[in-house]
Amino acid sequence: MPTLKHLMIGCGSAALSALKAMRAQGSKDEVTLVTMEPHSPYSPMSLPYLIEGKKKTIHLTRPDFFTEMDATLISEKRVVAIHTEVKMLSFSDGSSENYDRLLIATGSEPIRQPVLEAADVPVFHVMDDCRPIQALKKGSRVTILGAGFVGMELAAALTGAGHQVEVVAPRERILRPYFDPSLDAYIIDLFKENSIPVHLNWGEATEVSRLNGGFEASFEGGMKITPDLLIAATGVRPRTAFLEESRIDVKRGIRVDQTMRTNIPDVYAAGDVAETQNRLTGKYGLSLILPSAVEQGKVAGKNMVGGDAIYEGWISMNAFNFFGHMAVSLGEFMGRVDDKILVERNPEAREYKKLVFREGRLIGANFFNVRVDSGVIRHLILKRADLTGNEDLLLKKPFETGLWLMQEVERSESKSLER
Amino acid sequence: MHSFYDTLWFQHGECAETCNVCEEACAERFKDQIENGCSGIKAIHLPERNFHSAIFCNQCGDPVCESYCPTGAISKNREDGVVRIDQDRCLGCGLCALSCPYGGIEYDADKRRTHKCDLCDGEPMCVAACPSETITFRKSRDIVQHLQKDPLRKGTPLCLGCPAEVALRLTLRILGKDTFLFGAPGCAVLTICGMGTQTYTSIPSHMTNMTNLPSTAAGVKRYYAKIGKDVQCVCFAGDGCFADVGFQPLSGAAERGENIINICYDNEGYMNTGIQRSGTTSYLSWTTTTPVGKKRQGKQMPPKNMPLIMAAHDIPYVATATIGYPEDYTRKLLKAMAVKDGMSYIHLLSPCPTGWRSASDSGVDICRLAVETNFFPLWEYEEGTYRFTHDVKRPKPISEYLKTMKKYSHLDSEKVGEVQSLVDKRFATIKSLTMMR
Repeated sequence: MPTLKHLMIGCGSAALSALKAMRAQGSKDEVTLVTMEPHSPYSPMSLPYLIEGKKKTIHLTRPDFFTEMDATLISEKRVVAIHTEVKMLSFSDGSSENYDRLLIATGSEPIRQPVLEAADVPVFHVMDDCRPIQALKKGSRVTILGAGFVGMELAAALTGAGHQVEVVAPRERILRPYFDPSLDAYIIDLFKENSIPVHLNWGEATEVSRLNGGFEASFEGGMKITPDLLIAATGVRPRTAFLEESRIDVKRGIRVDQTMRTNIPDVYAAGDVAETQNRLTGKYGLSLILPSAVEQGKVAGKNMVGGDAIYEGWISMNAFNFFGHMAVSLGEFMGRVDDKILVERNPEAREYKKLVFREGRLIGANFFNVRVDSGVIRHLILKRADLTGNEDLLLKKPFETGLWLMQEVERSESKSLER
Repeated sequence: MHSFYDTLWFQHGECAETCNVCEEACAERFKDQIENGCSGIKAIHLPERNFHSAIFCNQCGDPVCESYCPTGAISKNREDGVVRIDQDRCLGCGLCALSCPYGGIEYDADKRRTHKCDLCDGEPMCVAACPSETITFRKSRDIVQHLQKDPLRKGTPLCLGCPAEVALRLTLRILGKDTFLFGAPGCAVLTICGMGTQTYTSIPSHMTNMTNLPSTAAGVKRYYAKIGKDVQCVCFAGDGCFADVGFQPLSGAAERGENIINICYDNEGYMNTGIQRSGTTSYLSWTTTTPVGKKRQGKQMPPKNMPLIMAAHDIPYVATATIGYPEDYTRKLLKAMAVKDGMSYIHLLSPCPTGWRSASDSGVDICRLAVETNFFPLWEYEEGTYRFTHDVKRPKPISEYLKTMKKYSHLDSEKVGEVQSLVDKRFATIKSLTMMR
């Protein structure tokens, strides 16, 4: 078989995982990764650590990685269009490149409301976004718009770096996709104790302007602030703008099947940009987390070199370490009325445990300040293990019971393999 | 791509109810590096489910933690198989703990620090500290580095699940080239000599009579020595040949100092010809010639202690082994191969699923139980000294071993007690020998 030419747009977790999977399959095909960034690969989830200043470097790969992998990385090149009928990419510098198989792993991009866009309020999404923040004098006043996980992690990191930070949430919730509402109060208290006020229900920004090197912003609720720096952490969306003319099926993200193929032959997508199935509900959706990017990239990479891997879908998973307090979110933690939902809380110690069972199987969990092996709980969800009769014990002692159940699941699995 | 590595082996759920010794030993090791101690192994006690165990990193072949780490701080070392965290690169984000299905990562949220088992670079403290043998360190790597091309064909005429085949295959892979294999009538002989014009081995092999096996091997060895070639002549035969019918030539070759290796796969009887008793058939075993009837149930005499008899010849090397402990067997075989001034003899316990009436998938388990109950202690005799090669800290009762096969199914508790006494007595004998100086 002649060797194929694989192109990958992006060099984040999904693309790197695809590259590794190709080589693990023994493929000697030509692989080229194209990134618009000037940096060697990194994960955006590491950026707050760079802001906090405890780590000097956060790169994903060692310098000789691409040599070892026999692949080429082309930096600072932006794709503007894909011509799928002739299998060609066009770049912003006017050049073009052909491919036999293409992986789109362009990740996501930040969204700002028009009023923020007009004042060019900085965002926090890629490594270059760190520069103006790192250039701040110690003790600067920073306001973060948005109380999602980017905003909250950034707020904590900026405080660690010695700045005065506040968070503005447009509505009454923080970290909405990740935690039960009853956890909000714990987390907000925790931020307050670490000198970060979290303002709820301020509404959207109505007027934003630059003022004396800083910012001035007014909100629907009538509040007005004048921070040294304003940062918009108001959400992200898949980076798909360049696909408009390409005939590639884009809904919320690029629609792919379980083999990570798009509707166009020889075009694959993986990571934040791809829209895939939720493993528990079967519904299509975005999973903007590193583990999903890695898993999807792996499947795409294998299949691009002739494998027959299947992506089983994602489950929501996130872990936040706020000032030494661990918050873990897994699966469908909100549940439905017919689900068995168990909650145990200890407000004084700020402990919170929530488990959601559907038909005897664990489908979601929230933990705050609880000693638990979260990976083991995730494993129980992924394995669809029947936990009937053990639900209460798992709530009472999630650490020990989780490990015991994991052992049981593994044992019964190895037994059924023997048969 | 697949490699064998040394691994921790754990009998899950078999810990004592309040024991945390492994965790404490591990924390002690790390106390200089990490404040407040932090352990790579976690003792788990869940009395509600009577589960007492410990959890540590499996050192996965394709670790999820490695693939999810956002700074590439986790990597599996392809040399020793250990998955390590580079603390200089680690962010302390805890994603590895969220990804590991087996609880292998210890995450300290307060200090933002991850920690995991690194097998103590080959000398695990938890294993040394464990008061029982719930956690052991299996040095599979020792075997693998000696493995050579398999000269035995896949698919042999032996019964399903026969440990002797596994033993022969491992033996030949360790022995390597320049090996002459000799067999005598018995189960293994078809495997050694083939059928018709077809052989099963790609090395020279030959079938002798039961009564001239070591003599033939010794002759071939002498011929090659005479023409100046160093070859290994190895006899692989059962207990019927070595302990009974062909004992005289074995004893004679030992006394003459013939430089050959003899491996006796002891399946405790003449299994090939219809499961008759032999000189090594164990006490009270059922065989077709020691049936279970009204007057007598099973064999009434204890077996001869064949390895001790061979050690009494004062040859350079004698050992007991089973394939339940392949690393132990491999070491012994390498020692036998190194002998150049006389005979070596390895007595290999080899359960017979057909004759012992045990499950075809239980061979290795039975081998291990034989050792764990002191029924078949692992020892070696070298330069006049006896030495245990595997220390059983807390021997299991012999009933654990007996119940795995039907050849003992007629034993009542009184008879089990008799077998236990015999096991204890024989163990005491070998123990007293190991303490001699």
